[in-house]
Amino acid sequence: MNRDWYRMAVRSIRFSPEKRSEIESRLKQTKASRPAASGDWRTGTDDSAYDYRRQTMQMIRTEEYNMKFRRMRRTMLVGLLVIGLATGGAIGAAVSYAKKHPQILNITWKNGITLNLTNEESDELSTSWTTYGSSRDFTRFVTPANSGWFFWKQTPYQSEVNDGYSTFIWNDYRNTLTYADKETGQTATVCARPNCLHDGNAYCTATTETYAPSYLTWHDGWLYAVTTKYLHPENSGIIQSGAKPEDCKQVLLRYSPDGTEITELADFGNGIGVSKCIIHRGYVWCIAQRQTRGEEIENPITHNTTIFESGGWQLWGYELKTGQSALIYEAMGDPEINHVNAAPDVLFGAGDYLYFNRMEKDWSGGQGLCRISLLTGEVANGEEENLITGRHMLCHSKTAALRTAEEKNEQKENIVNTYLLDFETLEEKLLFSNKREIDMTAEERQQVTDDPYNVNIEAMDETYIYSRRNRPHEGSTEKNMEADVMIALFDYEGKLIKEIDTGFDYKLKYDTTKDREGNYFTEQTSDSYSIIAVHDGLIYMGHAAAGWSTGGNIRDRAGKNEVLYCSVDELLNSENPEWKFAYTPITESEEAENDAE
Amino acid sequence: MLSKENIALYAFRKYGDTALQAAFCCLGNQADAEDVAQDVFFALHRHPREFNDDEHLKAYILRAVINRCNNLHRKLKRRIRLSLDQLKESELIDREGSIDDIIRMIKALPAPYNAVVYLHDCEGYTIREIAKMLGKKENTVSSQLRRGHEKLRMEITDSGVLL
Repeated sequence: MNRDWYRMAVRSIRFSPEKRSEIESRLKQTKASRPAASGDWRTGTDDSAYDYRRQTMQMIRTEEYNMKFRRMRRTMLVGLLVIGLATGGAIGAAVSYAKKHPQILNITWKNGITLNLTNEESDELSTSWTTYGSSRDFTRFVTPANSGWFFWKQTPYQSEVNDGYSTFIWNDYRNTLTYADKETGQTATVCARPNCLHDGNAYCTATTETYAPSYLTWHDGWLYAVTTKYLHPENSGIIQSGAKPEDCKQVLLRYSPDGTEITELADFGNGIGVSKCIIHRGYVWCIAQRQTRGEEIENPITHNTTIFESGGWQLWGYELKTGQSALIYEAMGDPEINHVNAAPDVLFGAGDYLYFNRMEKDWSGGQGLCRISLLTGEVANGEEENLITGRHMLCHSKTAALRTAEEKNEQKENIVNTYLLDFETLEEKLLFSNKREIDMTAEERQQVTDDPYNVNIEAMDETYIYSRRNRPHEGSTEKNMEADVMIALFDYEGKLIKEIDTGFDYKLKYDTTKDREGNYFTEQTSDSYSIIAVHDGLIYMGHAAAGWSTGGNIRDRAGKNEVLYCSVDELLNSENPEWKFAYTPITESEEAENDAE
Repeated sequence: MLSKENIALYAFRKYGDTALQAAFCCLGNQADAEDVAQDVFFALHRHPREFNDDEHLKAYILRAVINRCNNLHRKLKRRIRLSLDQLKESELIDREGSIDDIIRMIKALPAPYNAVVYLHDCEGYTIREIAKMLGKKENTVSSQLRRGHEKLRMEITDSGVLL
């Protein structure tokens, strides 16, 4: 639409000259006195007796009127107050009742599945984010809560393992459920057990090794997660590589935020993997992963290792009110094509539908966005066809942004298209169409083309689409890169609103080092940033720092992940936006330094 | 500081047409739009007040017009619009060849999108300013603006008018 045209059209609406002069003439008059009411005292008489009587009557009437008016006003005020209190109380009670007893919609599908849906829409912001990964991943699954963040802190440790034949030193990572307070920035281990060492013992709620760490979802003061339960946690450390499908289960957990309990809400059967869950319409919707086959290979400790292959996945609904579970969708594995039913990484609730991504059956076009109706159980576009194919999907409110698989344009170049899909109308809109940056050399990439932002959408909110790119410094090479981390905000028409230099630097470095046997090898390390979410007016950046050194073996340097945040308003209006740390997990080396001090 | 001295006349001469355009966009009806617009200035004439500057005055006038339009909507419980023929006869729009397009565009926009689109596209207010003016959240205004544009575009596309 041409807005200038619209503006011009509206501007052509004007008062007619006659109307204009009529209004102006009225406005030129002095302030109009209130017109005399009918039956008022006549004026202009010179009869003094009449005047006296008139004045007296006026006084009496005025006094009477004032008295009446006062009484009436008092009565009205009292009445209004009573009505207001009664109405307010009734509304408050109704709201309170509605909150405690949300409207239940009883649904029975054709296949007999029954659901009791409430009217509580999903809060897509309650689901957790995955921080930007690095070779040493120190934080995972960050989850915003009311006054801070929950996340898994990952620290390396060594343990002695005896397999019955000999003792080994086993390198492992310990995952600790941690809370960071937004106001103070202080972190706390989510375990309330007195004198607990948080060492993975069976009673510790923060470091339990019975359950794998997983995406956390904050809802109504609890943390929910769908994860793997190890049936033999005594083999901690080696169990994850030695477990068979029958050794693991997929379960829905509920963590208390004060570290007092972990409750197993539902058991979805054998399987391994961590998955997302969302809360929508009174249910926790869970993806349970299946591994039905396993190939055994030799392992020096366990003497066998199971290579898991996808056995498909299932979508379960857990009713919060009753604790009943229902299997609502099943995408089981195909022995011929292992990846066909790989579990989705997009799960999103909007209105009467659940949206998820699903592999194409023939593995030709990557993934597709699909939806299942909660009212009928029907999958949109049938079992074979998805709503739209694409990768790197983002969902927000009533829209999804998808990047398609690469295509060839007329010049035979690889291009990437980005589409917006409206959930209500299912209309697709092409937002960007760009050459695929990854196919270019470093030199080509520096000269890039239209706009590399357009293939790097990382977050959405009600107003903007957020994209990030790294702008190389002069002299950077492919193996020794330094670049400015830039963020661009687009509107939903694809128009660039603002490009912002975050002040962060992206670094990529290759280093040649020597191993214990004296062999040289090249290793890559990077210091990178990405947008992980926009939540409640704040934009969050994940920072994966891989431990930089001026030389030597970079592999042994401790790195860490951080999450920083900044107000979107400040980003738009300030030249130097201030970034704050959501939290900075302490690495083991730093902990050791602290202990030494 | 603009004095109270004949502020209504000054305001009408400066923003009379703006008020009419805003009312027309909200109501889609010439007669009601004129009534609402002139009532705003008459009210200001009866109860003059001071303004910091012209922008303050303009914002006041627009806010008053939109409030009165909302009141009228509530009162009538439905939108009042003239038929195409009535509007053609109104001689309100003297631009040849554009009248049908204007009618379509304005009719395409229901409340509350009409006011937001008008303030943004015609008056050039930012989302933040509109939010402050209408007492809404910025996100709400932004969302309404986006949806208003979408509805406008859909209407124009459906009607086959190429803009």
